Amino acid sequence: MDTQSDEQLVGRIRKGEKELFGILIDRYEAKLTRYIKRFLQNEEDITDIVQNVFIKVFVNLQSFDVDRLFNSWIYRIAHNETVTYLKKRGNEKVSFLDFDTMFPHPFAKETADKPTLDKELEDLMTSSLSLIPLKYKEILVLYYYEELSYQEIADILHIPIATVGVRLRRGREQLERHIKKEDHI
Amino acid sequence: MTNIKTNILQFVEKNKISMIPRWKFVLYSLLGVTLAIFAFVVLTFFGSMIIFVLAKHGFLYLPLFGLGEIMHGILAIPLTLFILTIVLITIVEILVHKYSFSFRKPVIVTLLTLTLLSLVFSFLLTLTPMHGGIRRYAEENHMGFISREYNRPIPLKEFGNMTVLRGMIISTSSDEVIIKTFDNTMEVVYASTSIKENPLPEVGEDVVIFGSIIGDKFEAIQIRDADIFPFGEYMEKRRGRMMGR
Repeated sequence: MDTQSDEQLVGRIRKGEKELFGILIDRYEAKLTRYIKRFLQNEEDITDIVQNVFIKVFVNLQSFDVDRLFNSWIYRIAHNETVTYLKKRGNEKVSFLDFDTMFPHPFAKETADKPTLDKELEDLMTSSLSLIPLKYKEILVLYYYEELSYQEIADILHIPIATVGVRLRRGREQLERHIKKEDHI
Repeated sequence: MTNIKTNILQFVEKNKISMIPRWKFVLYSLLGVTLAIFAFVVLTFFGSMIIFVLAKHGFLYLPLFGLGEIMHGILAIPLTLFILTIVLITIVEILVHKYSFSFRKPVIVTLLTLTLLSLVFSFLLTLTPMHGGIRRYAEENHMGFISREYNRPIPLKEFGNMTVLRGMIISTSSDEVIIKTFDNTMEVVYASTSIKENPLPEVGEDVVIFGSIIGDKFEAIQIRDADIFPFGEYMEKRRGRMMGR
């Protein structure tokens, strides 16, 4: 059963084999918990959000397009649940005009030197991640910690691929600035 | 088995949570698409109606008279249109913030695209005789409300006595022209000294006149041919003239 893809499992669950949903929970519970932990500290809140994500996934399973990646879909639901929670808590502002989306720069392409950058950045990121705005933080987490591609991140956040590149570069720059500041102190 | 997994599988087993049937998603999508198409058609219809009314009164031709006059044209757009646009944008923004699945949808891009598309289609619709036909039908059948909207006067109070007129020239003399507007009213227009030197347009021409109201006189500062953008019924009239009708 474990050899079946997520999408194949979804197909069977939709046909009535509801108990198979447990396999999807096994596959994604740890991943989602780790992802949401990057944005929230309270363990209870994190558990609640993860549980809500799985409930939403189950309830809306018939709307999932099996030709697409289940991975992106579930991360998208997790992302939205987290953002909704942060918005309710009132410490994240949503911008009406997002210039990164409207005018993405053409040079922000996916780079081949990702593994080297990962190692260097991951250590620095952990301490400084909470200091940068959510819109850069979410991209950095999805790219470096969850190791998703530009396309997958674009699908999760519903933004153009070029915007992913722009935000990733700006996020890195902001992180570097914060790290340098800390070094001076 | 983790707590989350146990909880969820119990919810499923006891039917506390169940899948929304596929037909409901299809229905929601269809409703959404229908609503979007309806909103677009309504927006385009009113957009083209506004363009038609502006063309009928001559305001659409203001850019021909110079850059400064463009501002007259912008200010001539009915205030209610501005208010409606702001209200619409506010409602969409609130809805997207509250119900959006994704919280970073570029609302402004979507709105600008829709507005631009609607504007293009509005212009195309204005080039058809549709509004002329509706207006005529409303007048013939005494449909007061609709006629009123098509004949709504556009004041230029912000600019004191400056205004614009559009109509067909009925007669000309050395220093005045009489035009019949498309509301079927006659206007006597006096030519200012600055345009007296140029030959005045000929009888039968469709013109737009920019000028000022001094007392009970309308003094023309500039006169331009209105055939450049024939709209709705003007297009029909021109077609009629060309065919000798």
